[in-house]
Amino acid sequence: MHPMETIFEENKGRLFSYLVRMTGDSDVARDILQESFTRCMERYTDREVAPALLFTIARNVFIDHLRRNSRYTGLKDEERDTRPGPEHALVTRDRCARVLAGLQRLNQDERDVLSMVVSSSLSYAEIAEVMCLSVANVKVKVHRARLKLRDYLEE
Amino acid sequence: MDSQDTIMSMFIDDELSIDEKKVFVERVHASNRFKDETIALLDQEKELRAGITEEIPDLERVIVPVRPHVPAIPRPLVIVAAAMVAAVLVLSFALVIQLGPTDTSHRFVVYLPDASRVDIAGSFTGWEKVPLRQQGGSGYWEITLDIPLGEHRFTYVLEDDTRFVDPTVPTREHDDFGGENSILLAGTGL
Repeated sequence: MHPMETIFEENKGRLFSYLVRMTGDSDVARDILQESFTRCMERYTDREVAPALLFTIARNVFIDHLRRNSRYTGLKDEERDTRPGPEHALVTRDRCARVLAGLQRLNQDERDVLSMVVSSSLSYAEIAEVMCLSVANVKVKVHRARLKLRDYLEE
Repeated sequence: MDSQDTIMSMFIDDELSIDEKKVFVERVHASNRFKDETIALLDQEKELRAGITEEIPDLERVIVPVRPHVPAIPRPLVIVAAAMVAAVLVLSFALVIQLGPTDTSHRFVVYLPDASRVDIAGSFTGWEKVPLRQQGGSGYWEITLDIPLGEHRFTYVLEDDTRFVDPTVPTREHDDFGGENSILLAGTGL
């Protein structure tokens, strides 16, 4: 296996979790994950890639995806794929679906920072670098997102 | 939101220093509201972190191109490298001007320890990119080229997409594509 593939495989689960939380849709997350992997293999083949860079790439692909689908604002419950399948079973599990729905109600910045905190093993400092924020700003955004999510889940 | 309460999320995310841990424990003991809110967020966190990674998709294989494209090196690193290139370039001119009457051998050296690819392109290469060779693990990249005596224009290309002129060479010019080239006076002195 190519070294890049190994690095990506090691981080694939975290990246997928981040993308599911960002999109609220496992099919979209899978497409973005595949595109991130392709971009990674094409552009970073002979360089050691740190997890923070993998998340930067996945985040950029996600943002590109939003730009291509400018009307995309996350899927509403009634729009989610109802076909049976492992991903569907995953997303529709009550507990998971409830939290994912709550995440989709956060604004994109809040969803982004909270999804990355809970999905990655990155520190606040690394996340600040990925998102071009100060560490202090990350602290505030993460906590504010958690409080908003709590309010949404309590409704 | 109480700005002091960000310490709750820092606790959840293992971001507390020793001093902050002390503050956190003191606040838990001093305030029931703080304690209850922290517990509520911890319960929420269990739900938030649960379950999503169970079904991770297999990825389609990607054919790696022979000459991969990689992103640009951060500008500060480029500027530092530029200064080092200039120093080596100036030294190498002393050798250049003592060689043959029509062609001269010119050694280009650049210090870029984090680069994975460095090329040079100039009038003496027909503007084709020619890769520099890495000198072991030293961080230096180099190439020696035979170039005609006279005036040449050249640029370095970092990571296959970032052009980089030598800032200490006073003579340079803008090209037709919005870029800038250094002007090398081979065999005629600086």
